[in-house]
Amino acid sequence: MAMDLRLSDLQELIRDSADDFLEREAPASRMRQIEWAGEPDEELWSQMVELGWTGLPIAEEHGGQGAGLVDLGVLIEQLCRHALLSPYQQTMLAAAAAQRHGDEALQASLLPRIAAGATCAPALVEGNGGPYGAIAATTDGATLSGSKRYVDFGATSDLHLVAALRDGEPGLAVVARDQAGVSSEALTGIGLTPQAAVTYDGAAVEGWIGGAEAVDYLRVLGSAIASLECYAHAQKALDMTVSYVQVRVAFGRPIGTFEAVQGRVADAAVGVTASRFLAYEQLYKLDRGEVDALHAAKVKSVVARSVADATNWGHVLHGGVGFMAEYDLQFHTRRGKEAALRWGDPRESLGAVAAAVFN
Amino acid sequence: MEFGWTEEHVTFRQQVRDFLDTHATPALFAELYESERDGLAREAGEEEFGHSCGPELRAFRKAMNEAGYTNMGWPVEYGGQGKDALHAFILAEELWYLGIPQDHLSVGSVGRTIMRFGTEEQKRDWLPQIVSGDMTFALGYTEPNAGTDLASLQTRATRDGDEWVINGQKIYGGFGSATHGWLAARTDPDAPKHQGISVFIFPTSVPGITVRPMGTMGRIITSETFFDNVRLPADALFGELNRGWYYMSNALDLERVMIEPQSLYQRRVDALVNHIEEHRPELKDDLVVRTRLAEATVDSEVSRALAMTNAIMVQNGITPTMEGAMVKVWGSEARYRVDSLALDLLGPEGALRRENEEAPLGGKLEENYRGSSVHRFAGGTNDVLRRIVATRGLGLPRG
Repeated sequence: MAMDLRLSDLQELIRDSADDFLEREAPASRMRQIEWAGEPDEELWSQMVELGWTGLPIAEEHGGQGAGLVDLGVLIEQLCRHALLSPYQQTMLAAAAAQRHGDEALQASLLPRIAAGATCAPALVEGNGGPYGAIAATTDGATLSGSKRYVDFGATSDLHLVAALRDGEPGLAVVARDQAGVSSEALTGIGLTPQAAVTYDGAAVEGWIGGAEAVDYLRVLGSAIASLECYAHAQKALDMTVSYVQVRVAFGRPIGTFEAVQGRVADAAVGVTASRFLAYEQLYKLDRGEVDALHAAKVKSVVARSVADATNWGHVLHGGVGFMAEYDLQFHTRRGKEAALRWGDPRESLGAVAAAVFN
Repeated sequence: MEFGWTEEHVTFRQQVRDFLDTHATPALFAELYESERDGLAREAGEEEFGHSCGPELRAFRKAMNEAGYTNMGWPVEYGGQGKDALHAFILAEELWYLGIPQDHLSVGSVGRTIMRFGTEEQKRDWLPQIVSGDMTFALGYTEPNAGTDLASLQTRATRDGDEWVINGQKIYGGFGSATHGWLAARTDPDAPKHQGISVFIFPTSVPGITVRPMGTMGRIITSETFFDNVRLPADALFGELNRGWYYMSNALDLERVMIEPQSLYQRRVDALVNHIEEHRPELKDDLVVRTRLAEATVDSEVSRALAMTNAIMVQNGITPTMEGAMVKVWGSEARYRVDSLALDLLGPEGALRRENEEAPLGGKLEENYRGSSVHRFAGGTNDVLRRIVATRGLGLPRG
C-alpha cells in the first residue's frame, strides 16, 4: 500500500461514530463530574463496551474486532478531544501487550474478558523510577509482592498487569484487584486521572507473561499511546485557538488578523503537524513488530514539547476566557501535560536520546 | 493511514546509494569544496562569482543523466520516466545528505513549466538541453525593492516593433553563470500588480546586460544585474502576455517535494557528532553537549515528519500549501539552530576559517553559521510563510 496520511474508510467511521457518541453522551459537564468523582463513570463505560470499543484491537477469535493500533489511535484521539476520563487507554494497552506476548491460554482467558468490559491497569513504575527504573516486585508464579506507583485507575480496575521478576526474569503478572493481597492509596495529579499507589502483599497471580520483551513492548506501546494522547490534546487546543481568534475582536478586528497572532498559531501548528505524523507512524510500526524504545523516546520528546506549546499558546491567545475553569481548553492543558509525563517523562525521553548520541 | 515505503521505493533508494557510492567520488567533493567562494573575500578583491561547475561536477551530472535520474519525474513523452514524487524526494534526500548541489530550478521548475505552457518548438529545442545541462537558468525575480512582495517588481518590458525592450535591475539571480535568463518583467503598468507581469526567456549573452558581483557574508558571491535597453525578439516572451505571475507560481509549486528534506539537517548533526567522536572525545561525556545534541536529534525527527507529510501529500496529488510552508519555516529555523549549536559546542575551534589547516570540517562550520540566515528569508521570508500557514492553511482571516 502506498503511503497516505488520510484516514481509511474504517478509520473515518471510527472517528465519526466516536465523535457523535461522545458529543451526545459525554458533554463537558459530565466530564467535570467524572473528574471530581475520582472513579470512572460505569454507565458510560458500559455504553463504550456495547459499542464494541473494548474489543477494537483484540483478535476476533478472542471476542474482539481485530483492528490495528492505528485504528485504535483514531478512537483514542477522539476520547482525548472530548476530554473523556476512562480506563480505556490503559486497558487497551494491557490487552495489546497480552495479545502480543501472552501464551494462548492466557490470551484465551484474559482477552475475551477485556473485550466484554473488564478493565485492566498496567502497573510498572516503582517509586520515582520511571518506566525504565529497576523492578523490585517479585512473583513465584502463584503470588506477587511489591509496590507500584502512578497506576492509572489502579483503585478501580478489575485487573492489574504488574511488571515483576520471576526467578530474576522480568515479566508481567495478571492480578485481580479485588482481593486481600492488593491495597491501594489514591494519588491525584494534574490531569485528575485517578491514580493509585498499589501494594501487593502475597497477591494471587492468575497469569504470567514472561520475558523482558513483553515488558519492553508494554513500555514502548505505553509511550506510543501517551504520545498519541499528547498529539490529540495539542490538536484540539490548536483547533480551539484557531476558532477563537477568528471571532474574538480587539482594536476593531478579529485578533486572528494580527500577524503576531498568526505567527504563534502557525508555529503551534508546525508542532502539531509533525506530532500527528510521528504519533501515528509509531503505532503503525508497532503494529508491524517494530519495537524501538529509542525512537519512542524521540517521538515523546517532540509531542511533549508540542502539546505544552499548543495548549499554552492557546491560553495566551485566548486571554482570560481560556483561563476560566468553565472553558474547556484547561482540560487539554492539564491532560496534555499528564500524558507527556506518562510512560516516560521528557527528562527520561531526552535522556535516552542523549545516551545514544555517541556510539 | 499508511506509513510504509513500498518495495519499489526501497529498491530505488538502494539504487541511488549504489550510484552515489560509485560516482560521488572524493575528487567531486574536493572540487565542490574548492569551488565555493568566500563571499567576504569580495572585499579583498575576489572577482570570480556564482557557482562554477567544474569537470568533476559535470561528469557527475552526466552520470546522473545516463542513469536517468535528472529528469526521471518528467513524463515519458518528454524523455523522462514518469516516476512519482517520492522518487524525486528520495533522490533529493540522498543528494542533500552528501551536499551535492542540484539544479532544481532548471530541471524541476522551469523545465516543467515549459513542458506545461511552452510551444511545441520550445519543448523540442529546450527540454533536452535542460536535461543535459547545456541550458541553465538564472532566476530574474527579486529586485532591490521587490523581495518577498515579489509582485511589486518594477523591471519593465516594452514593445518596440518586433522586439521587447527590457529596462531595470534584478538582484541575487545567477546571471553571471547561467546560460539563460528566466525573467519576470512588468508589461502592463496599469493593471493590478499581479496581472501586469510577463516572463521572458533569453540567452544571458544578449547585449545590454551588466552583471556586478556582490560579496555576501556567506559562502557565495552573488550579483546584481542591470538591464539597459536589452532588446529581445518577440518570441522571447514565454507563454501569454501578462500571465507571468501564474507561470511563476506554477514553477514554485512544482518542486515543493524537494524542499528541506531531513537529510539537509541530519547531515549537520551527524558531521558534528562525528567530529566530536574523532577529534574532541573529551566532549562526549559533557552533559551540555549530550543534551544539546539530543535536542538536535529530536528536532531532526520533526524535520523528517514535516518533509514526509509534505512529500506524501504531493505523492497523493494533494497540494500541500500549508505543509510546504511549514517545512520551509521549520527546516530553515532548525538549520540555523544547529549551525549555531555547532559553534557553541566546539568553541573557538569550531569558528576557525578554512584557511586554518586544523579548522573542523574544513572550516565549514563557521561558513554554515554565516550563511544560515539566508534560508530563513530566501524563497519567501519565514514570517510571510507563517502567515500562509495561518491564513491559507488554518483559515484565519487575512486582515
